Amino acid sequence: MSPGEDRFGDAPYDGPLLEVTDIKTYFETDRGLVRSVDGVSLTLERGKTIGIVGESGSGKTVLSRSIMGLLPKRGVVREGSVKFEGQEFIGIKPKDMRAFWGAQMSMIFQDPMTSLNPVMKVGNQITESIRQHLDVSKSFANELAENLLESVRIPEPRKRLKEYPHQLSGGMRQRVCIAVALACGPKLLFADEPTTALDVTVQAQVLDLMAAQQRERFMAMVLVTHDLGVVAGRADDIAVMYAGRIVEKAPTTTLFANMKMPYTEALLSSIPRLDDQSHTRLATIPGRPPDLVHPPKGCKFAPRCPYVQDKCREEEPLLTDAGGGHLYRCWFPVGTPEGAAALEKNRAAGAAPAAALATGPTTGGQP
Amino acid sequence: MAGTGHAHLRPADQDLLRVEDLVVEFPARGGQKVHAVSGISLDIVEGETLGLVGESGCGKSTTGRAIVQLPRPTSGSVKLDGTELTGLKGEDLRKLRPRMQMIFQDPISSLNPRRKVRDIVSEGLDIWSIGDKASRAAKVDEVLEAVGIDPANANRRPHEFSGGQCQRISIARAMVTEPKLIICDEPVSALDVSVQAQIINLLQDMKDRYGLTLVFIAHDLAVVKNVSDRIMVMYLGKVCEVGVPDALYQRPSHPYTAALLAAIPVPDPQTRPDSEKVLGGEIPSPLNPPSGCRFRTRCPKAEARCAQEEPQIREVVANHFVACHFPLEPGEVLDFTKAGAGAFVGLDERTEADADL
Repeated sequence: MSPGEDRFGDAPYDGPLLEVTDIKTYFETDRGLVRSVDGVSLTLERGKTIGIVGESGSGKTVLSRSIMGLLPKRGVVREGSVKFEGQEFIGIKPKDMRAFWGAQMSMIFQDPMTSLNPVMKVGNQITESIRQHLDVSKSFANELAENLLESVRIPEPRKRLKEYPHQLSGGMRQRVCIAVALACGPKLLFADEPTTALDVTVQAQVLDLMAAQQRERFMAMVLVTHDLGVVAGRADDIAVMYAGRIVEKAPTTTLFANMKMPYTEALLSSIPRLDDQSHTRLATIPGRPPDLVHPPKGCKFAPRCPYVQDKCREEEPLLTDAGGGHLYRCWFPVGTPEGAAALEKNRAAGAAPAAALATGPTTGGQP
Repeated sequence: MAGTGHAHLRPADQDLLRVEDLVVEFPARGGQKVHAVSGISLDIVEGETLGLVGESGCGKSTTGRAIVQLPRPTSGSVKLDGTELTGLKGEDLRKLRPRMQMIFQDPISSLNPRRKVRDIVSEGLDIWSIGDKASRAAKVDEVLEAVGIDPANANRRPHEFSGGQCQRISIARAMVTEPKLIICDEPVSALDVSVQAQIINLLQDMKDRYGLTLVFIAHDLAVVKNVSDRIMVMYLGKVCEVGVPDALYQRPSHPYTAALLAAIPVPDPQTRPDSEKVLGGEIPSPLNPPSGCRFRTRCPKAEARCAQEEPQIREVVANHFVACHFPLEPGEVLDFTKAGAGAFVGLDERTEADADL
C-alpha cells in the first residue's frame, strides 16, 4: 500500500492543498452571538505542517472543526471560504462532505478514551472507513488494518485488532486513533491537542510517530495545541490565535526569533523552562480571554497587554505584513522602537494592564 | 530503578513528614495484587516542597494519598510531626485531618457544583467549630482574598468560575484550616499554560506567606523543577532518584530521569526533537512487575545483574541519591533505540524472582 506515491501523478489541481479565506464561525446562544472564529485566513501546502496555538477559548478547536465542516447542524453561522484542492466547502451538504471525511482529510482528537467506540473492536473501527471509501474485500481491509497498527508501532497488531479500546493504555489508544485517521491515506490531517491527555514520554513517542507518518505519506497537518513547546520543533508555520483571530502567523523559526505580538511573547514566557533555576518566578498573563459575545473595542488583547496604549483600546490593529510570510496584529509590536517606548511608558506609569488579576466570576463566552 | 533503601533520608529529628518503606497494594482478580507502591521512603523538612514525578502508573498519586491514609497503606510507616498515622483510627486520625490537606487535579470536579463557594471553603472550619460564625466568615474572606478571589463573589457556585479560579478556590479550601502539610496532586495539569503560571506563582506565594510544606505531584518536569526544593523520581512504585532540582536536571544519574528530561518538548525551534532520546515502550503492568530493577525492560543500560538484584538507593554525589546499578556519568548520552537489548538477559530467573516480590 502506498497512498503517497501515485497520488500526485494525476492530481488535477496544483494550487495549495488548503486555502481558508476570512472564515467566520458564530454560535447562537441565549446570551447572543458567540464569535468563536472571526475572520481567519490561512494557506497550507501539501506535506507541510501548520501549528495553531492559543489558550482555551481562543477558537483554535472551532477553527479546525469549521474547516472540516464538523459543526452542529443548528445555531451556527459559518461564512467565508474554505477551499480544499480548489473545492469549496462552505455551503456543501454534509452528505457530500462524507466523500472527504476520512478519505481526504481526517482528524485526531484530544481524548483517546472517548473518541473510540467502547463497544466496537479496534479492528472494526479501522476497517470501517476503509470499507466505506475504498472498494476492497473484507479480508484485504483486515490486512490493511493490521499493517496500519504495525506502522503506528503497536506490538502484536493481529491480536490487538480483536481487542476493545478499554484493553489498551492511553498511548495505545491514541495510536489506534492515528491508525483510524490514516486508514484511507488522507491528504490532510487535523490533530486537535493529540497529546494533551498523555504522559510526556508517550507524548514524545506519539509526536514522533505522527511526524514519521506525515513524511512517509506526504500528508499536510494542522496541529492544534496550547503548548508552544509541542509545535516548536515540528511545525513549518505557526499561527497564534486569540479571541477568534489570528494575531500572529510566521514560519516557526521567524516566530521564535522575532516575535512581534505581545500575546505570543507572554504565552512563551509563561512556560516554565528546564534551563531556568528552580523557583524562578514565572511571567503570567493577567486576566483571562475576553467574552466573545461582547468583545472589547479595539485590540482584543489590550486589557491584558503590557504594551497597551490608548490607541489599542480604540482601534483594532489590522494584520500587518512584516515580510517573509510574517503577519502580526499589533500597533506597538515587540522588538520595535514603538513597542519599547510603549512598554517603557507603561512601566514608568506603574500601570499594570487594565484587567485586575482574576478576581471576578466568568461570564461564560465559550460555546 | 526499582530502588529501595533509606540512604536519602535525613536525620529523623529534622523532618515534618517521614515515610518509611511505604507499601500500597490493591487486590486484583484471581488473587493477584496490584503493586502500586513498593517500599517508598521519603522525608520532608518543614517549609520544603517535595516534587514527586513519574509517568502515569508510577504510584506518585497513590503515595500522596497513602500519606493522608486514604487509602490505608498495606505496610510501612507515615509519621507527621512525630505522630505515627498508620496505627491511628477513627477520631484520633480525624483530629489530625485539618493538619493535612489535598488539592486535586481537576479543579471543577473537585468542588461540589451545588454548593456556594463560601460554604465549600468554610466547611473545614464549620466541622471543627473553629471560632464563632463571624470570625469564620472573616477567615474565609481572608483566604479567598489571599488566593486572588474577590470575597464579594463567594456566594456564587463553582460553575460561574473558570478552571483557574476553581483551582484558586481549591487552594483556599485547603488553606483555611491552616494545615502543616498540603498534598498537591497534579494541581496544574488540567490548566492552560498561562493559568498554570498563575497557579504556580500563587502556590509559591502561599508557601512564603504561611510557611507551608508541600508535596507536589506532577508529570511535567519543568513545572516540578520550578516549584520544588527536592525532587523524587518514581517508576512503577519505586524510587529512582532523589536530589535538589538544579543538580538533578543538570546531571541526571538515573537513565529514567534522563529519559523523562529528554521527552519534554522545548519551546525553541532550534532544538529538534530527537527520536533516539525518546523512551520507547510503556510502563509494565504493576500486577507482575519486572524482577530486580523495575525499569530494566526499557533501559538501554540494563544487564543481567539488573534482572537479579534490586538496586539500593545510594549517594552518588553529595545530596544526590540514585537507585541504579549503572548510573549515568556526567554528560553521558543514552540511545533509547537500544533499550531492552540486555534487559531480558535475566528473563529466565524472572518467574522465581517475581514470586517473592
